[in-house]
Amino acid sequence: MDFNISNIWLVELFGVEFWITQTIVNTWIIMVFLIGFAVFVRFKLRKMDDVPTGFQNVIEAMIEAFEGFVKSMSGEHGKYFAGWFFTVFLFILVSNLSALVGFRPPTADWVTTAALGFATFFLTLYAGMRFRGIGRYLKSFFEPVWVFFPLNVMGELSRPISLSFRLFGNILSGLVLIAMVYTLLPFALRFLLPIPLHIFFDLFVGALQTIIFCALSLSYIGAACAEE
Amino acid sequence: MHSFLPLQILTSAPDERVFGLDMQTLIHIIAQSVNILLLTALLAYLLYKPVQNFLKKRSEKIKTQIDQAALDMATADTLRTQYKENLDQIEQERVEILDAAHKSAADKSRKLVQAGQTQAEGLYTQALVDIEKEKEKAQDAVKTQIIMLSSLMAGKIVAHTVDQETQDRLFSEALTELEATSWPT
Repeated sequence: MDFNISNIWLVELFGVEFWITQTIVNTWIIMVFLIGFAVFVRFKLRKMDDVPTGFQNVIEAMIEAFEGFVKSMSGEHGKYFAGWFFTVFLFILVSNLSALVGFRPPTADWVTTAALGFATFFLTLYAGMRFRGIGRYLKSFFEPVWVFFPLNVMGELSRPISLSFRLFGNILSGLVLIAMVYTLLPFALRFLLPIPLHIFFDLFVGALQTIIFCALSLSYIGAACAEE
Repeated sequence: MHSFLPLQILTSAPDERVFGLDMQTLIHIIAQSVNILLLTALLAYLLYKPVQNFLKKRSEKIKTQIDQAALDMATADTLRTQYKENLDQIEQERVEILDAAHKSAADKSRKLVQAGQTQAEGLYTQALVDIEKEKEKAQDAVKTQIIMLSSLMAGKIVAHTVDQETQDRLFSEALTELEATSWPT
């Protein structure tokens, strides 16, 4: 039973050495899978019809449903970030589901969820400054009265932390639980009994956490853009 | 190998772990950020933007078609109204023409009847005048015949006793008396 993130090889870049970990390699594999999927979709839809049928219908429904989700969570301004969150959504979902095929999900490593969480943090700052103006956005940190400034700053900084640890904790806990069950079960039962656990932790929790991460991120951006 | 302490910690970090907060973590966060940014750019270029652009263009096309249809509908409504107005105008003109024709025909008919009546009255009056004249002529002729007849009868009666002079005088007297007598009309 090993929950650790394996270090694959050591790399030196600009005089700094760092490990290429299992998380990074799995991320590349997932990237290749998603890019392959995108290329496949483009190939299949190289000539899109005005009246969609079959596969085109599925892709259009997927994009339109996602745009509706973005709009409902963050309002009109959210559409500027829909492309980013479309990728984040697919990446987190495929990462979480990759546990089904024996991968260690990249989202079970805090570095991945932190990268996503801080991206949301910077996007929130950018959205607030762009759509409300720098002055008005910064002024919102002093509301309702100036003494709330430290609390507001802490509240803002806590968002990427909470976002990243929520996703990381949920996925890692599922991974640990399933690994423990596999360890405890006799070899003959390992092929049948963990299936409900995989369905719950990998499918249900994985999809749910994907939606939660994107919904919260979008609501933060929507709140940052919204006028008082 | 490195004089900078955090980097020493980095390379000397445990091979395998679940969670850590050190330079290695920071570098991995940056690496994952780069990975996700790269993935976003590629997915946006390959999948999201093309489909989104297509959907947008199609929406605009449908909107244009709807607008055009609304415009055509408005034009059709205008034409229909105009057509209806024309029909109403034509109907009104038809009624006016018919009324005028009826009126003209009635006038003409009345004039013809009047002319006929006038002509008939003229003919009737003329006929009455002619009748009167004929009647007078007939009376004159009868008078003359009666006188002549009377004269002949008287001539035969008095042929033996009255001479020519007396006969002429008597004839003149009788004629005067007859002229004085009024004839029934």
